[in-house]
Amino acid sequence: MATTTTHSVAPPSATEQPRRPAPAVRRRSRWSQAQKSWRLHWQLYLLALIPIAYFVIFKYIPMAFNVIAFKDYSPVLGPWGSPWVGFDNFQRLFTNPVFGTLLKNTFILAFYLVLASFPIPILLAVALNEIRNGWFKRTVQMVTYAPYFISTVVVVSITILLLAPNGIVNDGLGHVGGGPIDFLGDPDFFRHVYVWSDVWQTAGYSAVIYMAALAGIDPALHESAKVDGASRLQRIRHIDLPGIMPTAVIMLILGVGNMMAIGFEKAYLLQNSLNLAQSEIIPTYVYKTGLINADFSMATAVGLFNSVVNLCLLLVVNFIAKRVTGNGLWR
Amino acid sequence: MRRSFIALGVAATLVTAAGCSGSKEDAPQAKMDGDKVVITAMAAADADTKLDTNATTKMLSDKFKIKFQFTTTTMDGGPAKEKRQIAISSGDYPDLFLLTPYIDAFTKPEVQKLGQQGVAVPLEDLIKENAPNVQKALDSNPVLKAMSTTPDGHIYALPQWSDCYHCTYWNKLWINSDWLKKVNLPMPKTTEELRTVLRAFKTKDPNGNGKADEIPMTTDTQDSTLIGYLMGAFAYAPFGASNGVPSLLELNGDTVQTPVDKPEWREGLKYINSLYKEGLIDRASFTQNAEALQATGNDPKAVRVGSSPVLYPGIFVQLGQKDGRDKQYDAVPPLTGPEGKSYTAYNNPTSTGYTFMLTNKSSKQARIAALKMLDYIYTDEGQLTVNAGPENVAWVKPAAGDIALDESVKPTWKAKDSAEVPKNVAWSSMSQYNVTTKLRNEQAVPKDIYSEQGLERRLFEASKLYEPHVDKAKVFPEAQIWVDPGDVSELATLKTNLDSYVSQGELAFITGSKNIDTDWDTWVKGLDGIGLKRYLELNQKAYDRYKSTNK
Amino acid sequence: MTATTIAKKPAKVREPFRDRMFLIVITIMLVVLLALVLFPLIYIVASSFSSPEAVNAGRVSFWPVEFSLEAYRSALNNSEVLQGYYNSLIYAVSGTIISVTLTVAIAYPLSRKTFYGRNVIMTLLIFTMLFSGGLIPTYMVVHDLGMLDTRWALLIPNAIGVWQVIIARTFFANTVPDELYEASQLDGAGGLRTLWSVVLPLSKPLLAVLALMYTIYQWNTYFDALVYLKDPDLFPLQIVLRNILILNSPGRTGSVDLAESMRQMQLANVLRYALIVISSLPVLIIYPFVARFFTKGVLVGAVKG
Repeated sequence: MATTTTHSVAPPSATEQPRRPAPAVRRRSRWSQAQKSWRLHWQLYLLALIPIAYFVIFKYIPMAFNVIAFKDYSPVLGPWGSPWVGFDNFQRLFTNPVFGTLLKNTFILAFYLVLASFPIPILLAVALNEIRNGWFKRTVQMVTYAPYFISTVVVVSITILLLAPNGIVNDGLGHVGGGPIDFLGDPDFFRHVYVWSDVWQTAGYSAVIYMAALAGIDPALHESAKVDGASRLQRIRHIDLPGIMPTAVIMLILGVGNMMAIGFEKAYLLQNSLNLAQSEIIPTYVYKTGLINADFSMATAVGLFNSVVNLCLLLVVNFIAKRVTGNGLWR
Repeated sequence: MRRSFIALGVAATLVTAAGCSGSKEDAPQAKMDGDKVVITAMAAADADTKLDTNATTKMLSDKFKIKFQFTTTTMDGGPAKEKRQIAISSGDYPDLFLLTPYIDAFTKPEVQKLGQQGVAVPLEDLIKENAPNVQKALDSNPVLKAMSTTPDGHIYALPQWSDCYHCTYWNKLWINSDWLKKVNLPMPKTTEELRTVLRAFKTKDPNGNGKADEIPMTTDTQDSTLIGYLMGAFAYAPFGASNGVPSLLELNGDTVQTPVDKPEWREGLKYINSLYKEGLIDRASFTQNAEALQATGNDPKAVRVGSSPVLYPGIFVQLGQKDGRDKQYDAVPPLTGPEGKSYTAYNNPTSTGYTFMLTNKSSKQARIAALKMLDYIYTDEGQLTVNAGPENVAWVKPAAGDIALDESVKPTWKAKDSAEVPKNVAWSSMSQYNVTTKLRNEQAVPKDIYSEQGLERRLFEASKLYEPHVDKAKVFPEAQIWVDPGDVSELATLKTNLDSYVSQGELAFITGSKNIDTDWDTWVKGLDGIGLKRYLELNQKAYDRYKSTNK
Repeated sequence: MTATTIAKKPAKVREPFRDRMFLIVITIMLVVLLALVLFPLIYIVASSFSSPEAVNAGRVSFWPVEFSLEAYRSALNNSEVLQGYYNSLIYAVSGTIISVTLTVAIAYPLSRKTFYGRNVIMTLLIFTMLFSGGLIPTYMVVHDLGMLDTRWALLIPNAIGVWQVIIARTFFANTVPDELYEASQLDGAGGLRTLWSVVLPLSKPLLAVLALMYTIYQWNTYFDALVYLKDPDLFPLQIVLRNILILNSPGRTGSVDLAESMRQMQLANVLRYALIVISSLPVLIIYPFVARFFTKGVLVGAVKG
């Protein structure tokens, strides 16, 4: 939270001012800043009011429900009427003998996923941006975007069909003399299968954002670079990539900051007793215990834990990104 | 958008107001609609079923003077459960829950909680006074009675009874009888005979295409009974309360124990590992899904599957194929192991979700009317009519020459081809089953067990071969046992951890990534590390209480 | 975009060798990628047009086997499909309008360096992305606002995505040059007029992305609809299709007839593929229209020049 506060306290255009003015002066200057800003932007303040009201009503009021993580929730008594249990739910979570393994598995899988699904859409967008043939370009765009609309169940089912010991991929490997690979049973392959099937499914869709960012780059830059004799590769490096950098950094920060929110469905469907050592992650585990006993308080406690981890990750990666690239969530 | 601003104030107070509506007044005033009593009910309905215009709704409504007001969920498990949960959380729940076992039924812990909190109304007196057939079902079926009665002696909700005879003996192995003839071997009776047969399948080209493409034994991850079936020749491999899910618990006298840490279990794993090492068990068995298994079983180039441990042949081969390959498979009765053991596991014949619950919102008249309706549903005629539809529409009286599933009894009914039955005539799966063994066995089924319609008879006859191998004394009656609500969440964690540890370990021993001779002792010790003792202790406590109340 | 506009000129001839090589490498890579993505897609489409038996037996690869429209027939026979399409169209169009408007309404002020308090607001927004209350309390809010079982229940509670706000803010901040604001202020334009007549025309690619993302969100959503809606006349397409799938899945009736449930299972497998085709066609069709906005990147230059 530290970064947040410093950033929000720092006056917007106060880069020239001393970093830590005396409190009284600071308050005075903040007040005048606010007044000035209001005179300039009163229309925007009114405009922003509606979305802010939305966030309060639909996000902040329901957020109070998280209190059941500290209670023994009974639907009949409601979130406030249920008895307090303090940190019992968290204690049960942390003392579970498998918690360490779950956390490790979740973290590695999620991290790998973010790492792999970050650069591919950028490469795809940049590559597409170079192509002139309209027909070919449109086809690639459309086809790579289509898998996004396939349900997880079907994606997993096709993945298993393809990668089964007697599936197409292993048949192909057999033809070129490669031994059959146990993609589905070997725990070491679980993460690769998970992550790359995910990249397969989402890369085209994610590339859309970067294509918009590329479209926002001033074409005059390219023109003058061409006049200077810059090659395509050079123009990509010095114009396109810097141009989409702010968007890319933001996407990376958001991706890392949502790491722990990884869904249960896909891992669950790809799971079997052979790869369980790596495929059991927090969401699948919570789902399984939930089948035996739907424990809302416990599920909420796990959710809160994930959120706190996400918050920390987000602050860390935001801090690094700000240092390295000058871009961050707060400006 | 002005609405949002006004709502802001309302919304701020609602969180406090939300939970407090589940007050405990006794039986509210009845709402009437003409001479009919109004009952609000929550149920799951599919896209073809419009409960308000449904023929069965109409019939029951006239017969029992009930005006139904349904809140329906779709038959999507997740959202349906969520909706049910929300209804209770917001205090906006109906008079009656008419749920479906595999979609959104209440679990035991939920039934106990809702009973204690006064949401669910005790049913036992209402049953006694209004529902003789329900009472009879409870009295004649101790399992149903124990499933229904919570430890405090009340019945807060009823489960359904849908006796599935062939599912009771779930751990089956199906073998290619044609291939047996080709390799000139009899139906295997012992574990070593099975090994001989599988070797012959692998090496003697029983499908006669000159290629070694035969797979002696295969299955998939969702349907596998591989360990359960083969282990039966060494030790009792128990089931839990729900269909086909293996359990870790068995009884030794009145002591709750687990078979998986015993030497017999180790011998069983050793045997399975030896088959696997020889290449007699397909390595895909432990990773492929049902679609991939089907693709192997139906390989258009040749019949390739020698045997498959699954519930019934349709799982690995498509029924009614032109080349008739699906007719080649027959059940192998439980094998006998080197120590002379030959078990099959007993699976509770019905699922354990609670589907009929009256709430404290219902009026006295509503409760009586609902119970009278349930009483009719519990009769044989009521079952057929409410489940499937009216006589002559969905089912008919058997014709001369029809033979009952159980050939020793007279058939009493015959289902019509489902394509001929009009839509929206029945309550189907929300209808509260009381399908007894008797009713099921009286169904007329075609004589040819290899025809698609005769499948039920094929499974019936196969199951007869397995039935004598059950040792009832070893069966831990999980379906009938109520765990103390305070222990439930601890038990859920323990069970998840142990199930996962055991299934991982077993496969590691079978596939050889763990050595059964050198790693076994460490593995058994590991069981204690994740709470086996505590798990057995909690189950023993629950079992003892069950024992003391059900003598 | 840039490349295309330039390509219109006779630049093609002048392109140096290394650039042509570079293009060839890129094209080859894209062709490989295309094949990797395309084959599973073809499998899905081919399966959806094959007989359930053939799909179940694993005989389908890249061409329909025993060509059959059975899956499409059993899906489209349902009168609710049309209503579902209609509803989804309403949700997608009105949801997108509402969402894009609200997103811009918060993202634009946040993008202005002189907007006091923007970091506090940003923090509040990011917080909602990390910590959510879940379905039950949100349901209660929707219930108390009287939105249950109305179209509003699908349009409002998830109207603004924090990701989208941040993406939009980043775009505004990095694409619109500060000089433009100053010029616009000198002209005496208020905040709203600057937004309307200067910023938005420059942000068409962004608006296209936002519209696409929100449309897809509305198009794919089904869980909310299942929880918030009772009236089948309001169901979006995804629910209708899902119901059809469930209707044709085994075990629904608990019937004793195992052979019948086998047949249902096979049909359900093929249906799953057909439903993908049916439900994703509209969102695929709109894509080229949206993509047009990404290839017209001349906007900034036009205004500046």
